[in-house]
Amino acid sequence: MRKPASLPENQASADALFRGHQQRVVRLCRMMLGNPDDADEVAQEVFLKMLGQRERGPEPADWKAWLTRVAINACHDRHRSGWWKWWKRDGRELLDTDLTSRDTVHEAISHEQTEALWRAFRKLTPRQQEVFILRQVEGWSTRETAIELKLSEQAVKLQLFRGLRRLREALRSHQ
Amino acid sequence: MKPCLEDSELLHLLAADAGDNADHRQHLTECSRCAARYEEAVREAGMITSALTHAADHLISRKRAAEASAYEPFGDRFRLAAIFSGAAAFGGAAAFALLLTLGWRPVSASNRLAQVASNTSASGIASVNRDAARGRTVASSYAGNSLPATGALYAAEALTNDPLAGLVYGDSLSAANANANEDLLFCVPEEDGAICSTSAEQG
Repeated sequence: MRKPASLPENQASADALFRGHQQRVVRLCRMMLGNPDDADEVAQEVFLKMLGQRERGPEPADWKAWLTRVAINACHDRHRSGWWKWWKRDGRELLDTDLTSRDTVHEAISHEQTEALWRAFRKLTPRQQEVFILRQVEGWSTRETAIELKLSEQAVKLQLFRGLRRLREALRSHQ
Repeated sequence: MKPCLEDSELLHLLAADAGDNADHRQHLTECSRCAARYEEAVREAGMITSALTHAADHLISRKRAAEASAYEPFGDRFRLAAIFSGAAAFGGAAAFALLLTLGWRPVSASNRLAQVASNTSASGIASVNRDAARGRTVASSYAGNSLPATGALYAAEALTNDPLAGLVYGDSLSAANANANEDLLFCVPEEDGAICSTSAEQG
C-alpha cells in the first residue's frame, strides 16, 4: 500500500513527466496519425498509461523511450481500430497548418513548401513515417529503431532512405 | 580516386550509420564537391525534419478552425448513405446469388409468353400423363390460359419454348424425364379434334 505522505511527491513527479514530455508525445502522435484530434486523444491515453505504470511499477529506466514506445503502439492501435473513420474523413480535416508564427528556421522554407512536405509525409508508408520519426525526430539510432519496429537494421536504413528521397523531391518541386 | 557520388548514394550515406559505406565516406574526405553536396543533403534533411515538426506542432483541425462549412455535414451524411446503400446492395446481391445457387429461377416475361402460347395452341386438349406401370391416370389437365402453379413447369416450358411442349404435363420436368420410359399419351390438335397416341405407338 502506498504511503499517504508519498502522494504529493509522486504527483509532482508525474506532473514533471507530463510537462517534460507532453509536447513531444503529442507531436509524435500528430505526425503518425495526421489528425490533431485523434493525436490529442491518443496522447492522453499514453499519459494515462504512464500513470498506471507508475502505480503498478516497476518504473522504466528511461521514461522518454518508454513514452515513445507506448505512443507508437497506441497510434498503431488507433490506426487498426478506426479504419472506417479514416476512410470517412477522406483527408479533409487532416491538414491546416497555422504558419503565421515564423521562426528563423522557417524563414528559409515557405508556407507552400511546408504544406507540400506535410502532404508528402502523409503519403509515405506507415513504416517510412515511423522510421523517419524515430530516426530523424526522436534521434534514435538505427539499432534502437530496428528493435522497436521489429525490423532489420538494413530495412530501417532502406525505409529512411526512401522516405528522405520522397520528402526531398517534394521540397525541391516547390522551390 | 573514385568518381563523384550520385544523389542516391549521398542519401544512402545520410540514412546509414557512421561506420557504413567506408569507401564512400573516404571519397567525401577527398572530394570537396561531393563533401559540399553531402553537407547540402544533411542541411536539407534537417530542414525537412524541422518543417515537419513545426507543422505538426501547429496543426489544427478544420473543425477547430471553424472552417467547417455547410458542405461538410452534407458530405458526411452522403458518405454514411453511401456506406449503408452499398451494404444493402451487397446483401441483396448475396441473397440473390444464394437463391440462384439453391435452384430458384426468376419468372421472366418470355417464359410467360411461352406459357401463354403453349396454352393457346393446346387449348381444349386434355393432356394426360398416364402411369402405365400402375395403370392409373395421374395427369393434369387445364384449359384456357390458366398458368401452372409450379415454377418447375415454367422452367420446363421455357427450355423447350415449343407449343407442343405443353402436351406433356407432369408434375415437373424432372418428373417427366423420370417417367421417360413410361407410357405417355401424346395428343396432337387437329381440326376435328385431338388425335392421341401413346409413346409406344409413336415408336
